[in-house]
Amino acid sequence: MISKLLKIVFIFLTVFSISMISHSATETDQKKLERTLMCLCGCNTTLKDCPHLKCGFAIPAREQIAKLIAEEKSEQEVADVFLAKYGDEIFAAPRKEGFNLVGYIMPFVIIVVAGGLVFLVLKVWSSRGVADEQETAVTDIDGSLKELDDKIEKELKEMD
Amino acid sequence: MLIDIGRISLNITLVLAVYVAVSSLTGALKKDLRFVVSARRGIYAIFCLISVSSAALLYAFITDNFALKYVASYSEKNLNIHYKISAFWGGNDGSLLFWLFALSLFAALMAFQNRKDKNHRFIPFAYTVLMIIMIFFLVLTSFVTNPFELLPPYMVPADGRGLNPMLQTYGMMFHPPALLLGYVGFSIPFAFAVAALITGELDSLWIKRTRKWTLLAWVLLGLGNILGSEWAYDELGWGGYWAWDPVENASFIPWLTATAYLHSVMIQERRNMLKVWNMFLIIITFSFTIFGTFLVRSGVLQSVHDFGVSEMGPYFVIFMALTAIIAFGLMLYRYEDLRSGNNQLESFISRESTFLLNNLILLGLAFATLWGSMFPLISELVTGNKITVGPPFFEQVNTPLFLILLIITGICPLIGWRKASSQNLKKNFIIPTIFLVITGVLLLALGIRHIYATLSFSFSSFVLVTIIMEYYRGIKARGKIKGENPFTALFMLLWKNKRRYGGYIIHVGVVMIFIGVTGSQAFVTETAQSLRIGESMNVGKFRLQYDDVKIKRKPNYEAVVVFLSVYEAGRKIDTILPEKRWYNKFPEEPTSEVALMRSLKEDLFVILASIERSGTIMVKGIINPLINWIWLGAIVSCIGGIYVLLPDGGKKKVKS
Repeated sequence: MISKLLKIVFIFLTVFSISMISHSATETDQKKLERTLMCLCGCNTTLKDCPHLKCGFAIPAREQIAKLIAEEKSEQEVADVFLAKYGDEIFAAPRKEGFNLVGYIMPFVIIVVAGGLVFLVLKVWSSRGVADEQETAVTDIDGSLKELDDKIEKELKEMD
Repeated sequence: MLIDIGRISLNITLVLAVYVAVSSLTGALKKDLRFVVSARRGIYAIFCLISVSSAALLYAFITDNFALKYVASYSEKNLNIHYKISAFWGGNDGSLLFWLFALSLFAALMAFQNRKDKNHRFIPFAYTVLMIIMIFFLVLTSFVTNPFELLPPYMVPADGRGLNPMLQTYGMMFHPPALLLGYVGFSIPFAFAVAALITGELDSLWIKRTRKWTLLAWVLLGLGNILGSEWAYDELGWGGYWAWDPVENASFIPWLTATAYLHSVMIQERRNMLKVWNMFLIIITFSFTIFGTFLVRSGVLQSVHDFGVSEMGPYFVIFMALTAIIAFGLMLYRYEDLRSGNNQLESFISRESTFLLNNLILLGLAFATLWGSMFPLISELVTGNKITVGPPFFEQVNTPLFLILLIITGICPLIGWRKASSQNLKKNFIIPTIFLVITGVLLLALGIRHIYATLSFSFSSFVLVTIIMEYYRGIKARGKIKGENPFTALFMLLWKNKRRYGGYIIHVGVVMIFIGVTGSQAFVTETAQSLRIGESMNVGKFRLQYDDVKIKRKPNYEAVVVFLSVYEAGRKIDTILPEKRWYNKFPEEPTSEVALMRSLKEDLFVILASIERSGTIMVKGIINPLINWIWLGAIVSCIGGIYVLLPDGGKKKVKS
């Protein structure tokens, strides 16, 4: 039964993943680009979110993006124009190449390695454990009853 | 005169803190209670002295004493009284004095709480640790960033420079104190942990003694973070609330590690396991609070929140290094004793395992956030190339981890302690899983194609159903045993087991925050348009009509107020008034006051981007779906946290 449920969940997640890939993003190209490029006025936000009303950087940059899109430049071509002008600092997230890949991969590597260690520790500990045939699950209704029973007994004693 | 009193109080406190540290240490080593009692009284005196210093600074702000450099830098005559009060922590010097005030308050409360304990040596050692932390901050405030520094008489201005306009909001009255109180609160469990390591009293007593302190600090830090987000949303005018800025991240990381600690200590208390791990978690949580305090003052990483470059960096680095070396050194020294607990599990599938998984993901998130914040420095060091790590990076790396964390929040309560049988799993999982699938299919049918949003909403329904089931089972069990009606049973359930059922209230709040974040991130609509009087624009389902513009004059600013009528389906539903302000002291930095139309379903967020002499305006309108669920979720979580902090109704004292 559990394996069936897990299969259903797996299929469900797969269908969603595929459906997501097959649908185009709802954001316009302009907004998408503004989200991926930083405003370098010192506000430390993206071009889309720069809070300065008359920002000397964000406003011309947004206009330039609009102009490049109007010239039918692709996203990559627009990004390249900004890269050539301002360097890597312009990207809100590091480009996925070279040393930057370490930035993306490292958290997951650490989690996988730590997860492996946790798995090993649990395996060792559970192999040491004495198998207890009597289940003591707290969420189990019988378990809850037993827990409450003990508590009530204790309270009654206290009342006495 | 009062300034002198404030300054002298600080200096006396430094001497007294050294005395208390030495006295408590002597008392602990010689097992002489007289020294410990003296140290405790010293802690009370420290609290009084720092309160005097704080009151003196506050008085200087209220009375516009610009002879003080700090007051002249952060206040002005025309500032509202409540902002004069919040200017206390508006800069580096005052915020550190507030740190000290909070630490002295908590230390005094802790000393009072443990005043009758004469049996445990870790108490005087905990005093010593707290005093060492206090001495560090006292040295900083006395010699590096003294808030009582006077300006030379010929430089005393007639009026101050004023408070940064962005800090002139109600949010800033509560956000920094909550955050700082949260940071400082973790000093107490840290002090007890180190004291337990020194004395070798490594059972769960130190955890029990500090459980409520940890929870209080966790609630305050979480509240501080959320209030900061709300402030950013209301004040910064970009329509968002979390920018993954290094300083924001620095306050989020200790909250994550503390959340892991709050869960894993339950295993130590119940099963006498994970002693090494819990010790590690509380040490890194405290270290991260110091790191966060440092980061906002160091200028190491670029942030909109920092106080600018100061001379404090090296002091913090030395303190952090010493703290880590001593605490982890003690851990290594006691490693064998720490390992001596119960290191066995009855089953691989148990709540203990899921708690470890929860810890793994929380620590993974903390690492990913820290890594992302530091990666620009690392990259520049390795490649010489300057890069930026902004929101898109964190969204890509952290979002999957957050989703795993969400589903674990639902799974944990379904699996029993020690061992779960397949029958138990089947019984507990089947209903929540059905709800998960139904929610997903429903969203799909409604045309939602955002994978993360679909997963987030589906997982949220899973978690909510598990919580409802937990309450249902408890109510049913009480009804069966004690014959209580459902309402009485619910009340008694909540009253008798605050930790467990209060914890579920916190989980409900967390789910609400997830729902709010998902809605406001995945389905936001944004429009910007130029308007002349009489013209209108569409923002999603709303139409905004530009009716009028007026000038508003206040003592410390002038504002242009725009009147926008809001129409929905052709019917006028409201008039909103976005503003643009020019503060007298900051004429070059006009600020925008956002107009908000709030509802549970969505916010209409309107900002006046610019205004021309002709009266033509540029308006940016954003629809943020479900965003208010974040703030409501935070309130629910806080209520849950405060509820858990209440004395347990199930533990009555037996009268003899």
